[in-house]
Amino acid sequence: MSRHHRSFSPIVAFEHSAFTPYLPTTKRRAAYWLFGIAITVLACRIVFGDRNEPEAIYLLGACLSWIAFIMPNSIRAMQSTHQPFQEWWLTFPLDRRTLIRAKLLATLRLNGYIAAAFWLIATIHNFGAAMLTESPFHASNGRLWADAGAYGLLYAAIVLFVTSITALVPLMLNGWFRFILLPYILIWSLPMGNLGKLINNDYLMPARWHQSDMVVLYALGLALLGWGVYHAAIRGVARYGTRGLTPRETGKAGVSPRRQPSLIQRAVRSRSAATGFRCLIQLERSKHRSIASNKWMKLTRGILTIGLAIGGYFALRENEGVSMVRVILIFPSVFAVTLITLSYANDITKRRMEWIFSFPYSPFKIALSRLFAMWTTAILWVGGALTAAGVGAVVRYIVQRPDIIATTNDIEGASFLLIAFLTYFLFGTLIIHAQYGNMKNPLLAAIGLPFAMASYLVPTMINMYVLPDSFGENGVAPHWWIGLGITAAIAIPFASYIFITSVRTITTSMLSSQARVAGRFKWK
Amino acid sequence: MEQTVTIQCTGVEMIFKKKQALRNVTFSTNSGSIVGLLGPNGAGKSTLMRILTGILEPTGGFVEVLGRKPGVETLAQLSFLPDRGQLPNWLTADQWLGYASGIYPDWDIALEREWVRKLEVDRTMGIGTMSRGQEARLQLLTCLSRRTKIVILDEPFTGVDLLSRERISSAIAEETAGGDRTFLIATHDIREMESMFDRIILIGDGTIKGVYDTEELRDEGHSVESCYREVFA
Repeated sequence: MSRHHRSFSPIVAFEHSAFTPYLPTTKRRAAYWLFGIAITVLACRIVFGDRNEPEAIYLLGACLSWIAFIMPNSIRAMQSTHQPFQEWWLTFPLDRRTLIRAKLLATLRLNGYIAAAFWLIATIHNFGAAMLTESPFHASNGRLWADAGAYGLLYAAIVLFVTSITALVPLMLNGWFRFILLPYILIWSLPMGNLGKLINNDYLMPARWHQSDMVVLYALGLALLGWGVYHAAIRGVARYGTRGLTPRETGKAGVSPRRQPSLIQRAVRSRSAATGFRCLIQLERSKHRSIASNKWMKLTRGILTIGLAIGGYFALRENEGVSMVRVILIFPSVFAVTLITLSYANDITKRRMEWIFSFPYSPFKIALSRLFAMWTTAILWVGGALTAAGVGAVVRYIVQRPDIIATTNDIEGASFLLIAFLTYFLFGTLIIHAQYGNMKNPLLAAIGLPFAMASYLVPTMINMYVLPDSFGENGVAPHWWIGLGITAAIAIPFASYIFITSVRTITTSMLSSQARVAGRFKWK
Repeated sequence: MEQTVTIQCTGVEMIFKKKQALRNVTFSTNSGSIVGLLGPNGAGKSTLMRILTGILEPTGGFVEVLGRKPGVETLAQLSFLPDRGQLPNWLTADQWLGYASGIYPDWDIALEREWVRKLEVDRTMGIGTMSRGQEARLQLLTCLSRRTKIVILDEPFTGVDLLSRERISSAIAEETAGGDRTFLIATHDIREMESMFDRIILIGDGTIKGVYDTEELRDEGHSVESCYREVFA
């Protein structure tokens, strides 16, 4: 055995050990996994029946795998830059590429299991549907086997590509590499726009493009791309990404750089009158402002603002105002939910939980202050985006007034969408707290948590189903308004109840997570 | 000065993930005293402190802080410095103190200014760029700028440089001289703090191994360190 291999195997085994407790490598865990797969197959049978083509089921699984990999892996990659263990890791007697390759291999293994589970669910569903029904979709066994093989390759390619691209996250936190964040965010959100269509057995492209022979080509192409990203991630992160991996800079005692305070800093220094709960909200908002004041974020916001203004200009011309509103509302809805999770994850990594929960306020008030802060920020983002689009529209109006600006139906449609997204926004940001609740609570475990996970899918569902395209001609029918009202009347109180129940045990949950991230598995 | 009981623990138990972290912990502290909570790693010091602050609820026993069950109300009368906890690194020291003055109802601006001077905290410095010693001083400043009756410090010296330690020790000594504040300090730096402790509570394997009055120990020819070694060696 070569010297490299001798030292590589232990580090790979070490990285694997982080995920082994979650994998079906023991009889008990395998039983849990099989139970979960069985339940999901049953759910698929109930939801999809024999209405959906086998390819649509596989594509849905592919999208869900994508979503299941990209966010946890990104958070993990970000957290890796701040873990207390980091300096131990960086001083292992192995070159950086080896260290990063070992991490990647461990994550590939974990994601491989997850993708295999999704593939198995889709395959069992399709074969089961073929045996139980006489649907023309499942008539040909040859088609089923071809699909199973082709989509299996696609799932493997997705594992390679998505795992490798999330490994680039430490790189994206440095200098010019932050520009990678823009395409990264697009890649992140790629599957979300398709989920709704696939559930409805609808495709973006002609059905021919989803047949097994084409899928094999996609799989090979994606695998090739993934292979390139894999090597780029190893080399790039080893060279540039580990720059930010060492903990705080030291040696600056007595040499304090006198920073010219910004407008925000001067405002805080003047000691605002806010106290108590309002101050908690302001503290959380300061985090959002800090992120927004980063020069790369400013650049991104500038680009997006210009894009939205251009979009507003053309939207007015093409009478696509409602579509413009759709586009503007969908992303903040998802990102607000994501940012709540990321904010707590960041505080866990930075070991701030004791500080936060030793503020003289109940955990409920502390969690509520964060929620209010997020709502405020989201409203400001959406307001800014709508304003940018509005400016573009006004410019168009001045330059060349279109014949039709907006009909009453358009205004009604836009209002309906706004309320629908607002309902989702409130629902999603409240129910996402289920993940911090006590999982021994049967309501949280059985209902709250799946809802929390599904909350990322809802914006696409709203986009596809909530407002039919016919509203332009016929307006929003009364039953749609009634449906929206009933949905809001049920969803928001339910989500509020989940929020209140979850934050009762949020302290214990957060401290446990903090201890786990810090690598401590027992209380001191 | 009349002393009142500020912390009372009776038979406190804590079971976490089927492991008994604390077992039959019983002790009390009086106002105006500095109490050292000493023990090896994994003894249960931080767990006990989290129970006293109300962050965790014990699975058994009885805890009273200033005559009340630990919770939000007692947090308003208690300052807590967590072990290795980090302050918001996107803020400067001044910004953090600004928010702290709004969050804590008992904040004293005059105290804040005084401690900024004594602990030599640079207000304009970003927390994210501070050394551990600098942040430790800022964290202690946060605790001492409040008019609280109890100050709980969990390992205030971890990873802190010598000069910062001396400043922190002096600050604590000064704060307790003639005051009625209770300090409960968990630390491994026994020599640094030995001369300041009025009492020590030795905790190991989740149980109280002994409670000693330091003056009595010295009268018997012992030191805190020697007592610690006797109990845990």
